[in-house]
Amino acid sequence: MAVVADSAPLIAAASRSDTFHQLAKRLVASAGRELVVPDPVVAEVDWMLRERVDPATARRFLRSLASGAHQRATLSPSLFAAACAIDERYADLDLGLVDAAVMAIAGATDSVILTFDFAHFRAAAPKRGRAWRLMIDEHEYERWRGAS
Amino acid sequence: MVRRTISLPPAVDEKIRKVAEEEGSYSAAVVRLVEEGAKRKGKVDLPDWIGSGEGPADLSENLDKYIREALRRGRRR
Repeated sequence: MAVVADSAPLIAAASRSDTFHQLAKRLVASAGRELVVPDPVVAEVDWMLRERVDPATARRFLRSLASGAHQRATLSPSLFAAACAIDERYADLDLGLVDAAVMAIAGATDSVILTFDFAHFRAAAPKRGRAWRLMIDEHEYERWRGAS
Repeated sequence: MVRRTISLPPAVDEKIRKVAEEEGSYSAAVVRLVEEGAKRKGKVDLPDWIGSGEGPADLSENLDKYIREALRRGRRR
């Protein structure tokens, strides 16, 4: 089962000082090659790692994607249009392309989503079905915070 | 990809051949079976980017805040 990744869990997995590092590490490792990273997420993670972690970690992340440790998902014209439509449908949430791309790809491939942004992903429900299938939910996330 | 020459008991070879009928090739069958076995034993190699750096403890939790700060500093590449 493919798992479409949002940015925050990847950043937490990369940074060993992040509060949610151990949780993110376990989730990313268990997804392994089934982890799908949309190109807008790649760009955001790369940028933030360079800004707040270090460029070497960003390069390792990119190299890992290039070597096929995880899958990259490019936005085809139809997926880009779907992402734009999601962003417009939920304009009041101001999702932006990154979240909308994760949703568009998960919707098109019937995949699970790995995100820590529960507020947006709960509020912006898919057209079909009642809710996105999330790899972890807010309860497990909060339990982890309490335990860490 | 690397090439390896290995010796297998005939019974194991037969099992791999059966899986290879679904996978399309003998090598692909070996790769899948070994990865599944390693996963069950919890010995999957982690990619080297995981845990390779150190940033603020709340970076993933407050990602939007850090993005806004960086944008304000005008350092977007």
